[in-house]
Amino acid sequence: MNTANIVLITGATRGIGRAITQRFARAGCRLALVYRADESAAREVRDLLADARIEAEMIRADLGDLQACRTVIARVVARYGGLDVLINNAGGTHDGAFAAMPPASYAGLVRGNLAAPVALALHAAPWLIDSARAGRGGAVVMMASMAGVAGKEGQVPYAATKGGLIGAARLVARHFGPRGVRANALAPGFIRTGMVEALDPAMYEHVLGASASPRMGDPDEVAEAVWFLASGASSYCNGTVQRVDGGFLR
Amino acid sequence: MSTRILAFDRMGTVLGESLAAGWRERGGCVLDASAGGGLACALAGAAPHGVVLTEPCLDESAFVGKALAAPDAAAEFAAELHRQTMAFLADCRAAIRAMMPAGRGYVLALCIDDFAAGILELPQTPIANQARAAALKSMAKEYGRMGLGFTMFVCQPPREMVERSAWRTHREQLKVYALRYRPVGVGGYARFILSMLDGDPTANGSVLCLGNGVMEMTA
Repeated sequence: MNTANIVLITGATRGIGRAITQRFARAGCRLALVYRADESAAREVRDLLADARIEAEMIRADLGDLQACRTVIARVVARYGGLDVLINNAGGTHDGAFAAMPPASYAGLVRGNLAAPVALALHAAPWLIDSARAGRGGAVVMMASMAGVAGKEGQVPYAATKGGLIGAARLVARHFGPRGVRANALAPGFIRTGMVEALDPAMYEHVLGASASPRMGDPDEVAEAVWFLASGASSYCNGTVQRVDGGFLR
Repeated sequence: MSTRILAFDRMGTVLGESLAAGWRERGGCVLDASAGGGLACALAGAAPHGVVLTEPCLDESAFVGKALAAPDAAAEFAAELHRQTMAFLADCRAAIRAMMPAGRGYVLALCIDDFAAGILELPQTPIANQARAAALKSMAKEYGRMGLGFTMFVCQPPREMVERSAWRTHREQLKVYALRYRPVGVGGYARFILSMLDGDPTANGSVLCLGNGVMEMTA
């Protein structure tokens, strides 16, 4: 991937997404950053990028509204004239005992975690194909999860969405790979973000005890893996899933 | 001893029909939820021995192909994915709730490995396959201790799924290195899958890949 590439990152202002934003900003990419509602975090990121003279389009959008996916891609193209890399990072959780969980309670999760990234990838596909043809990139990274690889109790709908993203990477790779587009999924394990800070001590000990690298991961370590999958360094990776989990064994 | 019920989310799929026939041959009773109201309605008051969730049928690749030409197809596909995933999860939840009181039961999910879909012009379902695999593994981790078993079967395209001549026509394309692809008949798959219903779960939370000749992708 060249610097000055046009990179769209969803869920870009917090947690892992923020680390990804910073990684691509350091490389001098032109950024389109989607956030849902946290104006304060968005302002903070925008100011940081402005100080570093990084070009960024901040896009507030609720990707749970599938029509918004089309609008987001249109805004990126209107601003930059194309798109080289799509990083589908945004996602949420909805934990609990599955049998007691009314379907309506996780409908939004399924829409935002699975349907929206797929819609974004398909809307972006023509631009990614153009990018690949021009030798600029044409890459998609789907932020899955270890729950999508190995399953996780208390997270049935979440795991389904993340597993689906792994399948989506394969689907996009299979279809657009012959035209130079690459799509891969990333499966982080336990990463030090707000999402896992609520873990109880017993769970924390379980994670450490079950990992080849007995510690929590850092968002920057995930961001490096995203960079790898988006860049030419992974030019022969397509339709695969990369685990970033410290060798979690259970 | 009461007749053992095997419930199906819907009939009419190649593997589903074969499993139903095999179950009847074993003296079991088949409950078809596609008749109306879905599994949640069909299982009301029932205590099934197992629930079969038949193979996904939405051809994901067809939508992807359309999306380049028609932008509306992307949103249409995303909405359909949402509907399909929600329906699968609702069926799983209904199955768990129906079997929990007895403290035993099986959820068997079927899918067709789509490694050869492009060659044989079969539906490609990688998103549904992976979503289901991850969901079932999660359910096994959550409800396995309560006596419920969850197993996913990734079957290579069965012999009956395409015209007999297609196997000959595409024989070379289906060959993997020196290993020739030998399609398994639906009866063979049904016998193997139904044998999982005997005794305690032996492959709980597992994704079992069935067939001869080609490595699976969904695992």
